[in-house]
Amino acid sequence: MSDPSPLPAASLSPLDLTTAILLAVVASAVFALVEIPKQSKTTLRACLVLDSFLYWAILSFGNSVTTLLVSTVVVENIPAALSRYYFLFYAFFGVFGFETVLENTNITIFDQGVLTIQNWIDSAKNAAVASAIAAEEVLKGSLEIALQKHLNGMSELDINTRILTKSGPTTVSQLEDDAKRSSADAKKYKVYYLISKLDAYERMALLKEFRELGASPN
Amino acid sequence: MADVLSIVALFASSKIIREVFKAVLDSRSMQFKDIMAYLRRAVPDLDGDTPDQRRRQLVEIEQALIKLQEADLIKERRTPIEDFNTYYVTAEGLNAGKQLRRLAIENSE
Repeated sequence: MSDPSPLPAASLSPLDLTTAILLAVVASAVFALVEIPKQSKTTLRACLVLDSFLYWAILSFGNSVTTLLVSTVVVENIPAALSRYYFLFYAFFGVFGFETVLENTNITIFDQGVLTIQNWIDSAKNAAVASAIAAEEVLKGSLEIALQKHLNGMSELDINTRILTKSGPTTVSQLEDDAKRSSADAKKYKVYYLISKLDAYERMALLKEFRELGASPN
Repeated sequence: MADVLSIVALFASSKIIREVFKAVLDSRSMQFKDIMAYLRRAVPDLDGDTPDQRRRQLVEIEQALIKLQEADLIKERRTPIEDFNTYYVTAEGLNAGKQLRRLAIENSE
């Protein structure tokens, strides 16, 4: 005799769940790669630090759990005709439903709120953002040393011209006054100023020029 | 790790400390020269004309930066010329910024 209880139109497949979790982990990486540079206002390169991977791990764990949680809801509510794509729905609703789950989940001990999951994620994100900012400063520091070497080798006239085109006609004299007031070397001062005003592309172009000059025998 | 109360007390002690932190927090990292320029706009009564006044203001700003570093809210990257030293926000600073924003919202409600 057959079982009289109605069977769900489609059931949870372990392969679908594994694929959905992998998708959730990939989506977490994308999310972290978008969020950390945006929050830290740094380059992607500076964001590749240990704390970013920790943030990704925590995010992946949360997203994987919610992906598993929503899978039964997806099976019950989405037509069986779409069962081939269930893994996609699990991951989609899991990742985007994570925020809602976070806001409504508290870790409590003896009825006292200790830390919400949101706090854990926030702390991990803060650490990742701060590490990216610090890493960016290290990168900038080493780049600036190379640029200083290159610009210090140029004539003061050349540096003045670059400042003029970059910041306008009054800047050179203003910088010379500032350097005098600070008892600093005027040329060095202008070099530092110029470096601070260069954007990433200009820095890379100057650095390339410097390397080519260093590589040439003359 | 500085608690919210000590951070609030630190910010309440000086407008310059508040403004310096706000500037560094918003831009994530800032050079000393740019902090000075920002403060001249944000705190108009800071801009003095005499060398003595300027020296006093400079000391005040340097003190603010030292206090913020002692509270672990910002860090410094040094260069041979002080004007180009960079100050950048730490994880503590980011946390403090969020907590203060939350407090400000709660107080306004």
